[in-house]
Amino acid sequence: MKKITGFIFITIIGLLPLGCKKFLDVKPMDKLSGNMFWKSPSDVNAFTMDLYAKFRNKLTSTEFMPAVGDLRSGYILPATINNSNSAAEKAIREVYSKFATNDLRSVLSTTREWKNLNYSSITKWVDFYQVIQGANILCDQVDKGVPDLTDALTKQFHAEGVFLRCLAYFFMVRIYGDVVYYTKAYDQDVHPRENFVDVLNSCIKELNDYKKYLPLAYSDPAYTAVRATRGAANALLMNMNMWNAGFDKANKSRYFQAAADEGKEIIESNTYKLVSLDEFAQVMKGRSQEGIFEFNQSTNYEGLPNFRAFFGEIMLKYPEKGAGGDNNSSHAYFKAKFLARLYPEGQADRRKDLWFDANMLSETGNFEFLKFKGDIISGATGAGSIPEWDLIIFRYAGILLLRAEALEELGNNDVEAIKMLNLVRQRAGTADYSGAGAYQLSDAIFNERCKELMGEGQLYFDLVRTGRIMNMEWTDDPLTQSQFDQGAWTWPIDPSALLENPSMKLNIYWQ
Amino acid sequence: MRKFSIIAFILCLCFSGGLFAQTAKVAVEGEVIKKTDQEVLGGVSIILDGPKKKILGFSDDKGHFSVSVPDNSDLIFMFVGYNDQKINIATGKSDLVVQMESSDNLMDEVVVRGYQKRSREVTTGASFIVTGKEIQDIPVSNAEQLLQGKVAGLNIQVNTGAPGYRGTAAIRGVSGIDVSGSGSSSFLSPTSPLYVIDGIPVEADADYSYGFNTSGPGVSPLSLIPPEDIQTIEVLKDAQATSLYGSRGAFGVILVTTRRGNSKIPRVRYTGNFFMNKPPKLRQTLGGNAERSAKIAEILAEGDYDDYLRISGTPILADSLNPYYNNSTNWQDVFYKTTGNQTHNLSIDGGNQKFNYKANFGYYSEDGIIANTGFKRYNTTLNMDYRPNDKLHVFVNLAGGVGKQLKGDGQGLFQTGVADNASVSSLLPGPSLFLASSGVISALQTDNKNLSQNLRVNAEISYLLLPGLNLSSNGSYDYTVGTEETFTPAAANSLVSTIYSYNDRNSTLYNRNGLTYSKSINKEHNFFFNAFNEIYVKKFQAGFIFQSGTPNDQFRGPLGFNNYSSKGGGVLNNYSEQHLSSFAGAFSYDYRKKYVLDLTYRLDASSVAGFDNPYAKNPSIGLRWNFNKEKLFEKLDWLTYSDIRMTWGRNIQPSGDIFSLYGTYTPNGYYIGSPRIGLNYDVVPNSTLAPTTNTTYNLGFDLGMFDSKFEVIFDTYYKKVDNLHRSVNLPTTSGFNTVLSDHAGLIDYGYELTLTARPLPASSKVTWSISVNGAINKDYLTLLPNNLNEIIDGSTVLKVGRNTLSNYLLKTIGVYASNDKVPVDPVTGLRYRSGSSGTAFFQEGDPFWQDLDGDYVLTDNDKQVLGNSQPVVTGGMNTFISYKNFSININGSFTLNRDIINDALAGRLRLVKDPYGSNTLLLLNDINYWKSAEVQASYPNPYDFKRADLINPFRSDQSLFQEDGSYFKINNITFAYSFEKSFAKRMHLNALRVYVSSNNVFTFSNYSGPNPENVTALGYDASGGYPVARTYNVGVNIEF
Repeated sequence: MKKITGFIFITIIGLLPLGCKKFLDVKPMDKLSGNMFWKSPSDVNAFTMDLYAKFRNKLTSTEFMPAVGDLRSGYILPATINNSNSAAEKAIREVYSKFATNDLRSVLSTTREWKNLNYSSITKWVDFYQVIQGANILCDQVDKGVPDLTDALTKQFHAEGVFLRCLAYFFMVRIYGDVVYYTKAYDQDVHPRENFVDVLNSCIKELNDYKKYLPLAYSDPAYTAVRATRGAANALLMNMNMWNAGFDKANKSRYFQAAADEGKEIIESNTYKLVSLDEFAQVMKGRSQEGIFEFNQSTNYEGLPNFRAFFGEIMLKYPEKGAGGDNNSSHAYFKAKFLARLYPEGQADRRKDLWFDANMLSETGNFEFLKFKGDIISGATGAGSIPEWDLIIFRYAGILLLRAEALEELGNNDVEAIKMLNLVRQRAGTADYSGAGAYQLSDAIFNERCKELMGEGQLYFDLVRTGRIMNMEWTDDPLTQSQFDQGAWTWPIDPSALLENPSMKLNIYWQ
Repeated sequence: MRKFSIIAFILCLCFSGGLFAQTAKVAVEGEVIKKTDQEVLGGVSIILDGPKKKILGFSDDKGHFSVSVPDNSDLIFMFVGYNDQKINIATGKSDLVVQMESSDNLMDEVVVRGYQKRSREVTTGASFIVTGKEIQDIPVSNAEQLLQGKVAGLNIQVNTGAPGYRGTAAIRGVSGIDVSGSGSSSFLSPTSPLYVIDGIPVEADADYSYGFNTSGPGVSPLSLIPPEDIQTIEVLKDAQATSLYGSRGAFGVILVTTRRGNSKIPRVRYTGNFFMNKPPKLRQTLGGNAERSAKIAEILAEGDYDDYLRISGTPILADSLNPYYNNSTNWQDVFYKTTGNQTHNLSIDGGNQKFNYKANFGYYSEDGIIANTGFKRYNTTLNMDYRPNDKLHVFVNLAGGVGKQLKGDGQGLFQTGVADNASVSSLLPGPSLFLASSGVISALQTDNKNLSQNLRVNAEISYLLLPGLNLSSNGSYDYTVGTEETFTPAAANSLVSTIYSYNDRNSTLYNRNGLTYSKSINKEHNFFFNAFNEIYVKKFQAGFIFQSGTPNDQFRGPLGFNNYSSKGGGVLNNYSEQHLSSFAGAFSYDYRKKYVLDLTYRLDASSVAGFDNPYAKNPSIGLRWNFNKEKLFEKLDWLTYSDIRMTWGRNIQPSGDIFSLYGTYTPNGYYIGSPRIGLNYDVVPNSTLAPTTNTTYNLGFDLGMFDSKFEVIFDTYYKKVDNLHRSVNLPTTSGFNTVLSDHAGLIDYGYELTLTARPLPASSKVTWSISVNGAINKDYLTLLPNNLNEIIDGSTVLKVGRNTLSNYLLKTIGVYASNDKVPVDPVTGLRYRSGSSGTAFFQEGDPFWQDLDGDYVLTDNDKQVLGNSQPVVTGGMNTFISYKNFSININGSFTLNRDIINDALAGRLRLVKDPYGSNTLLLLNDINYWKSAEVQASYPNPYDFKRADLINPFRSDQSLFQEDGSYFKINNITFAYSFEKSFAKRMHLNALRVYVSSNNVFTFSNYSGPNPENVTALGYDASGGYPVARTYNVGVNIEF
């Protein structure tokens, strides 16, 4: 008896360590820890999707794309005449006159009527850095190896991480100027801001190394234009080169050449085409054959988006938007002077016919910019019901024009440049560019970009990188050279950036 | 060891009893009593002395015995915990009264190491035992506070009078640097010792930290143990003693043993206490018209024409005929009350060495001295001990407790609402049937019930396999349900009633299996092995509902979900399930009990520590030299015992959890139809996080002289805490908010001395013992994250090279007697000014704050590191005197060298700044504030209400309010009388004892505030705290 009892005891004690590892493996019910994650390709995919969505959420946290890309051009003003919206809404929309005079201090004021529109989120870069950290972690984790993830997919996800990181830096450079640059996963160090040309050069170098691992297109049509492809990488590289060309004048021909080459690659990939203007709503809705990269907002899966994030919200009214007190009139309009410059009297242009109506030059609440017209999201009612749009970042027409610009700047292949320009003009049903008329080639290309990409968050950046922001001819809110040099084209940075970082400095112009 | 052999010896004799037969006998009858309180003592072994000792019998439960012995022989009376009594039986001597004297020899104590009982003589670690006797007779809701001043190095501060709550307890100084909040609500994360109740580890902070100013009942698990049921409490201090308890013992271990059955015939004992809690002295206020006149006088003295005009627009000042403004209400009386309370405890025990049992039923009820607060406790404890033979031992324990707490509308520790309301102008009418302010209703009528229901069962089986080889298994289940129900009436909350209902479940399943082996070779080389493993499964889940707008204050349910009135709730995100597994081993060797070596090692693995490094290793080594056993000292008769102990040990706490190591990933919905799982950006994963390590060196010395009449225990220690974790904010460019850093460290070193004296001879009719203990603890911060020199946490600063938790204050040099005393900036020609406004130049009557950066502008840059919010010296004094049936017991404790911020005084002075408001006006007669340039003042002018907001003269973060918080407190005094046996018998009782006692008797201190102890852990005396009551008690012990 004694022996048996003892035996049982010893056996029990002896068995305990064996079961120990399993005993200690407690899977938390309500969350996942990092050591439980990164176990399958679907984990990697889910994480990548989260990065896209995080980026998208930043761009929809406020009227982001219009605020950074269009409103500061000086050509957009609040509609005060024939505006039957509520007085409160009209007061809020006065903010556009502040944008039009580059008065960002008033825009960001916490006491004005528009304080709830959350423009201050533009000054906070932490969300971009979350995307960057996430991308760094994605690259780091796939390189460490994920079970069942093939070599090709490993490289592809790594390249996707690099693309997202570069895109985030590209956005930040255009908004804040100099930024902190790093690529290390879980980086916790204190860095000073780095010259933005160097930042983009680092991005260009890295993306050049990784773009080859990205697919030309995804077999799943759901991913068309909303996930990184080689074309998207080319487009981003083009844009980064063009931006640097405007600031790093000493090396500009190198940048232009690179941009032209990247553009050529896109064209020769035969992946994209210009969609007929009759089906243009499809382009704005997203995932069209013209789209190269865009952020998707799906009401099917994610509910109603922040409708204020879209340019169409401010320049459409009922019935293009849903019925509602503040949808009776457009909130803002494009100055007639600007539209008249783009669409000279007597020149046929289908874009003018399709995107504008009789009130085109009215400068009133009746003005509408019908490019953003579309099917209203099903089921949505009231003020928030708008057509379904993607946030278009790069599309084929823009890339063609950008290539035309690069080639023109290089000055050795104007024929090809004109060919690019005319591809876009032909689709618009307007006459081919036939040599210097009213405008030089470079100006004609610029005008074409204004027309084609109107409301897509490109205008202000084109003004800045080409230096036209300092020219009364191209903007109604020109900066002086000294303002420009002090960084008047940037946004203020939220002072929270100074915390825990002694080497941090904010943008001098806005101090 | 010795006691074991005695017990074994007794057992053996017991089972072979009845075999003796002798001739020429005398019958001896008599009674065995305790010398201290003259109570009878049952179960005492009566042994016939001789070459072969023989057991004759035991005293019965009435202390009576009757044996027959050979003429002129010696009898020895033996009982565990008492000195042996040897009595010669001369012919004809038959009616004996044997007085048993309790054994006070420290070396006879049984200490517990790694769940095993050992004789103190052969252990090396530092520990101290407090017996249950010492902490009874004082009714308190939490027995922990009765340990105050009893153990050198155990610093207990009763810093809240809230019934059912704990103060702070720390063994050997500061162990953590986690400070949250700021100013008077700043809060140091508690690093309380681990409590092991009847062999079952219980975390004293578990519920408490969660209940601190957050949701949840916040009843401390320690408040659920009735003090009457406590047999002993042992405090383990150094790492050698605690190492076998592993990671969780890093802050020291306190072992609580409850009573066991010990009476042949079932015995019923009753203890009842009736006590009165009296609030401390409250603030003196001006009442009625005196208040109005004072306020108007203040305006007339300091204001201008516009201010005079404003008087007529302020009805509380102008409309003295309005009955609403024509009162003299004593608001403090509304909220603070003397309360009468009671406790009852009934215990039944019985059985013998073979089988015994005990049942204890306790009831404790205390109404808080603040209205609408209180604590009630209901307890049942049952245990059973079974030893059918000398091999098998079964022990079963069942403890159930219900703690019911009322928190009013406060949080228990803080009653800010009450404090605010008690500061309302006396001119306003007091609460009545038809009239009461919402604040008053909130404080008085908020219906708040907190229940903490705890059930703890454990069973232990051990079996002696071979001589010396013992196997044991212990299992327990501890289940606590906490609920909080709060109903806030509509009148107290902007005419919308709210209902808050919280519940949590906390369970711990615990199992320990162990093996011990002891072997002695020639009684010279003694070996002891102990190996065991432990596993825990701990689960916690909490949830709440919060709803607003019931139809009226009477109709409170049933409630359903409704979009509008449901204000949140659901399962809280602090759900946890944790598994722990540990292996521990100890080896002990001694040579003739002269040289002792202790080695222990423990591995702790936790499911939250991750797989890369799951084991935390806790080694220790200890040496002891009982040098009185050396030949050299053998001749010294006066030397009872003497030894030197040296230990080294390390406790390692697990390195955060898997979430701080690897990050938290949460599902975030969908993007383009695919699921998203993203990283949580609150805390950056830190996979290199090192575990916090406590390394302790201890050198101890024990000395007993003149038959233990004088005893000395001295310990000195050096404790190094490395890799302290601290959350550090990250720059926004990292994308993450914080990182849990391990780059922080501190050291504590100190000295502990305990002196005990029993100066009177054993023959004296008076028993007197006195014991004094003290501990000096110094702590230094050695390292901070990012190699920072200092981190400022509100008004606490962590500065490397100083004491860990210092205050960060403006230094007040004095008060400007006149305008020309204010420094003038030679560059601008302007006077020194406050930074809050460009025109706030200092003038006469303003405080003179040192301008540290010399820019003639007062900003936060002028603050400096001052003072130490932690006590340096703590200790206590206890004395016990008994004469015949009378006994008196006095306990005191002291805390020296501690800086506290007298925010109560600052708040009192701040009240004056708004003469138009509806605040009360307190008497400031006792304060030497600035009145004119001629008189030297120590406080600024409080009546200059026009500039008060500009310069904030009574900000609490200034050295003016930093005071020395040293105090000596008489904790409690007990005076007891035990009735004569004969008298008790006439009442058909076995024994009867009555006593009167008082708790929190008096505090001697130079501190100008109300109570230097009633401050936060960071030394802030906040007037919103819960005052500590003084208790007067009448109690009775009855044994049937």
